[in-house]
Amino acid sequence: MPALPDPAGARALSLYLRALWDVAPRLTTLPAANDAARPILGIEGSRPVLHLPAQGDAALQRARAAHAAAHLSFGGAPFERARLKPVQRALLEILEDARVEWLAMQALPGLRRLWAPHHVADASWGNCAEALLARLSRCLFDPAHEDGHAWMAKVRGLFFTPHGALALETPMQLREAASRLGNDVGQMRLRLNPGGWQVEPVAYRDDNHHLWMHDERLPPSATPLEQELPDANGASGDDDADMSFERPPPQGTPDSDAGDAAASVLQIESSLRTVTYPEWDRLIGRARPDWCTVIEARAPRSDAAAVRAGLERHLARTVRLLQAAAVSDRRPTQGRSKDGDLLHTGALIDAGIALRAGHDPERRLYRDSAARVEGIDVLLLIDTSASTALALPSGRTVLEALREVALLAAAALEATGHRCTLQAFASDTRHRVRVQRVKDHEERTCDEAVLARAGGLASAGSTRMGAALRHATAQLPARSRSLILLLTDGEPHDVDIHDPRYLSEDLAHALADARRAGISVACLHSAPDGASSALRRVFPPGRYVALRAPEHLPQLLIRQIQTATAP
Amino acid sequence: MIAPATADLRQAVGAAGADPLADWRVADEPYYTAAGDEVEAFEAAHARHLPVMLKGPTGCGKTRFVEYMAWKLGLPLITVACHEDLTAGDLIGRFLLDASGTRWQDGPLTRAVRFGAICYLDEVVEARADTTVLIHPLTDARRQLPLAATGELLHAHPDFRLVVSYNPGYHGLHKTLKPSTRQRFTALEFGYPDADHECAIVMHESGVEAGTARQLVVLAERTRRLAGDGLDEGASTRMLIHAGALITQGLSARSACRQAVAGPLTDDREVAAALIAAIDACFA
Repeated sequence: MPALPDPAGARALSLYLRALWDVAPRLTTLPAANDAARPILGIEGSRPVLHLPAQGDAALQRARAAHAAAHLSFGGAPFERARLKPVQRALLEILEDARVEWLAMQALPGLRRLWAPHHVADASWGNCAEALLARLSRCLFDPAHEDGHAWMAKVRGLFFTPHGALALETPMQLREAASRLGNDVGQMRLRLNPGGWQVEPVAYRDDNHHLWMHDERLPPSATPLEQELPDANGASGDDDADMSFERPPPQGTPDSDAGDAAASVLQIESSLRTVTYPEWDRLIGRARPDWCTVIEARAPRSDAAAVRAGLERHLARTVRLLQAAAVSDRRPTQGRSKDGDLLHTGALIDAGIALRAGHDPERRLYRDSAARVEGIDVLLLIDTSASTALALPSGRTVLEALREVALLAAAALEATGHRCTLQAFASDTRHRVRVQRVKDHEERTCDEAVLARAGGLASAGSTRMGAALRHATAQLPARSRSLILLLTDGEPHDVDIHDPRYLSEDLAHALADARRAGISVACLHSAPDGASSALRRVFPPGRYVALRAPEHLPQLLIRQIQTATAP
Repeated sequence: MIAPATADLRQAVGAAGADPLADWRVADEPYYTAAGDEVEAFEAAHARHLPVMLKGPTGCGKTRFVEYMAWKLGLPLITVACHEDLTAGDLIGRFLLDASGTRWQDGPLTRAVRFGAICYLDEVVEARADTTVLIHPLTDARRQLPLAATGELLHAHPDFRLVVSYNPGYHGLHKTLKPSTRQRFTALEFGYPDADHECAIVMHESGVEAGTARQLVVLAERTRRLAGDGLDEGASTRMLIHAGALITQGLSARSACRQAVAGPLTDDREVAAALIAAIDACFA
């Protein structure tokens, strides 16, 4: 099993790509056993994938990633292989590599430093076709390099304008140039071994297969592609591995009859009550009354021991940090007290004035630092939709990770004087939004029953967040000191809705309703594609947080509690 | 006993004939180039005595804009940097003890109200809610400031204006103003200047040449893509000016940006690694 590169490095790489080019390819590692490994860039599908060889230090990985990003940013549609000889195809790849790198270096000249050390081909490599092509790569990369071969000067003359700008800009120009130059190589009586040729420098340039249209007649690639790196969503350390994903979530499309409970993917045992809520229909611009049916049930029980172990790992630290925050929040108030640590300046002056005026001074000369800790009501809402069944590299599922975070938050909140309820939700059309009660506020998080119910949560169904949120809002006392924390891996989605904006806009309205009721709502999100742009748009700034690891939970909780209790 | 103290103060000022706000006048024209119609917008609000709220990320030029407007309108500018321990007394004033007894000392807000100045409350959300409500009677038609401690009701000088700034973007540490406060203001939205404009600002303020300024702006635009995921906010124009200033002192662009951009932006090791790599990419 090849060693995973440093996950921290992968996150830095991912941030690097996003900052410099605004691209977010999925990063994976090629098996280390493959000696000839070079980067492979896949641009099919919705999200590009960059497979990086496991070997290489941070600078080399950056060089590889930057080259791939140049393709992603400046590349065009794939070329047809038809009617191009192998040497012409090789030349086209070289020209395209040089073109995208040249464009990338226009805005970011420092990239030259990253790539230059790998361009070492010179006259000493000889004059066979492979060597000439490698020398050509270098000459196009570095216009100042003196190679001495007359053909190099000719290609440069084609590639650059006399002022050093790019002469070959369109795919058609590139293709024509490659054809003409290929003929030159033929006239030099040089033959390219098409099987063995690789674009130089092998170290950082990818195999360029994405430049070519998919050809059914070619055998499938023999290179196994595997080993996903935890990218920006992952983070450092063991636990972070839990928050990154083996592969993107399968597009679960549970196909079920809307009204037929028996056929539903959502199991509901002994429902406690059924409530209907309105849902915002963006097309008609108003809420449809009694549109969604929320069925509330107790979560079935399962094994509590495993859940408890996960909870206890981070609990002490989380509680300690929350308590520290609560104490620091307790700053001396303007109130006056007969005793205390700090003198009250106003009281002293008042006393001074009273003394001089011949009155009795007030005795309360200290600042009153009485605890101001006020518990708030928190409702934690876990998304248990089908996508949370994905396995994490550690072997745990997303649901297990979300559940651990939720229990940790509940236990820590409870230990610091807040009231906390824990529920889980999933949906299967508007007729069946299931809310499972895991912990009621009078129960303690560490109770056997609560942990057993948490252990009994299972992944199924979709994510109708608006209805779940309305149900949560309805349960909280309508006053300013309450908070709903939504823990999710996805975006609003349900099988009976095909308009991608519909449920997001409903969620926005549910959020506005909660806000009007004085309830703060925050979303802790963790997903393979990084931050969810739909959720980020819907939640107010600061209320949408991409959660990377349980270690980050205390700070997030502190902020959200402060926000919820801000006067 | 108290009222005469304030009267004495006024008399003293009047007798000396000195401008009580001389120190707060903006003598030289601050460098500011308008990005849009914000100057006209501010002048319109000024003409109608409307309070103004400046919204925008840190270091994008809000404070500079107020300085420029104060200069343009010929008004003194009294700036208060708000923080969470800012008390009412810090704004309004307090009694001080001296050898002969107590003496009332106007706070910055009172001074602006009494003598006519722009009072600029920087980062007003940071102030405690009980402090922010003080400004309520000043921001409507009443334009008054009751001084409970002295029993005085101050009617605002005709030149008194209130301006607050506010950064809505802090992800996480977000605080909001109460609607009862925010609805008293007219708001001007500020963003980072566009690339050419920002380039000119960096050149002017730090003295770097055009090519360097352009790469600093390229870097800033790229760090701003990480706002909200990795960084709270991207590099501000102010940071670029700092970096430019270090460059004109002889530091290499890369070291200057590490010191003035990467370091201040983050403590996260991985984000810092990405930023440093981005800096390396931006400068030849």
